[in-house]
Amino acid sequence: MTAPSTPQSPLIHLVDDDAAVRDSLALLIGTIGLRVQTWEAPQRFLAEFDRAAVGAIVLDVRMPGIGGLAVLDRLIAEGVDQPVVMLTGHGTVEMCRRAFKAGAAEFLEKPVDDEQLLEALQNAVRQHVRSRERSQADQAARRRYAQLSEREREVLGLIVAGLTNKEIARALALSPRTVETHRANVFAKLGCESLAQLIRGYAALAEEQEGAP
Amino acid sequence: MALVHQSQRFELQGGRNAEAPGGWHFRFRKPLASASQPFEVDAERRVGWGELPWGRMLAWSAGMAVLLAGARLLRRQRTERRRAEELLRLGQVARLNTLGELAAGMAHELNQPLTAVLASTQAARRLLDEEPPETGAARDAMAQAALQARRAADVLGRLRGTLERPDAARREPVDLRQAARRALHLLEPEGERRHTAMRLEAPEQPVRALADPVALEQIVHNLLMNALQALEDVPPPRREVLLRVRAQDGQALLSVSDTGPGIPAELRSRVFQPFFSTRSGGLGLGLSLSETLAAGMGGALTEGDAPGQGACFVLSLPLA
Repeated sequence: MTAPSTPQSPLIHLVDDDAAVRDSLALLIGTIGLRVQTWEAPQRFLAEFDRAAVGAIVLDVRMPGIGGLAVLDRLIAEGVDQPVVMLTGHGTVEMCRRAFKAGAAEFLEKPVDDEQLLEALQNAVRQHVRSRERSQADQAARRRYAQLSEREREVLGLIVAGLTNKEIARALALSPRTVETHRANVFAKLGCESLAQLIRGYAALAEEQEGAP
Repeated sequence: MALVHQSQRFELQGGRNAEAPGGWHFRFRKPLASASQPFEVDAERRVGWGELPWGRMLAWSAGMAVLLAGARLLRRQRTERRRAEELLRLGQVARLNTLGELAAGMAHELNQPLTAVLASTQAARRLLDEEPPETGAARDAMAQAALQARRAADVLGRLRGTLERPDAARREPVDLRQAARRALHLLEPEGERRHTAMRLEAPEQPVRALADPVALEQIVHNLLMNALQALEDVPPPRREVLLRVRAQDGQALLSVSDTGPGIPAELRSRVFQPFFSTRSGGLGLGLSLSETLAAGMGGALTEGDAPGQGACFVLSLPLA
């Protein structure tokens, strides 16, 4: 049992209308150190669950009122980024196809084997942690990029395009010394120590911003 | 007929013009386009009632009437047969639908407790594997598993209660020969389509069995359809289905045998199991349904010995 890297262990939301299924699955999921919050009513889950938490969602397909597939549609439409694992008692190929098309991460048949479910959940959580980290890194990069002056952005664009200081100076009609100053500022403001780091972290952002006004 | 020139009239041929008062009058006038003979031809004929070919007309009408009536009778017979077939099929479909729904509902009802049992026991094992083992939580998980196993058993118990037939209230004396004839009649077009000869062997006197006529009809229909389908790979001249009705040892027996390939010995024990079929695409419910129906009427459906190598099924019912 590996300790989760996030300060709080990931939270699994389990939505199933059957109390016995809910309790037993929650117990099983709990054995690998994941926190579980159980929901009996899909509507209540949709209204109240913590969208900011890191984790995954387990949905039963067959539920009274609003079915699992409809809940999945709502989650995707809302832009919820937690991976969704669907559980069904009578999975047809068509249902499976629909679920994956709608954006389910995994589709499992009841009764589900512990290895299968736990592996699916660990994968889902890992995927979610990674995507959250990626989006956090992306946000930090954007914040730093916003601190650059207009001229520094131009210089950055030309650096990632592969131009030397002299070529940049010529392109922007500046003296090579000025370009060197801008370049040092860019490296400092973006917190980069090497060209490779700069390109890895900001090439995509610089190209994306070049297209924008 | 006459030739007319400037109100002068030259009779060429006289006729029965004047003597027929009623009837129809036909007249034809035409100027002869000739400069030397500017005559006008005037042909006149009167046809009286008496001249019509009454005898032949009557014979033709009568013939047509007979023909139309015959066609109508034939068509009505065909629709009646089709309707009967339809009813039989519907009855079967309704039963199968009920079975299908039952199966789907049962699958869900059983799946939930089974999911809980599996998850609980697997959680318990994991809890016991821990260092130190969490025996308390594991014990609770096992209790939960036992509870859910009991819930699954209750589902099955309820199902059995639903499926049990109330009693044999709908049974009445039925002549098996008539039931057999009726089934053969219904499937006659099917037999013709499959180039299969279907024969009935029955005694002179009625064989009265105590049965539910609808269920009986379905059983015979199923057996005949199975026999017809078993003959698909047999060359047409050797395709034969024999239906035998007889009373024997206080029982009314109806057997259906075919000249098909028969049922392999290793599969014999399974033909009455639901969802087992030797036919690709077969639902595998015909024989199991028939057996259930036969048992419901206090009878039985068993495999008999075919005269040749084909399959033979025997329906036995209590004599009325």
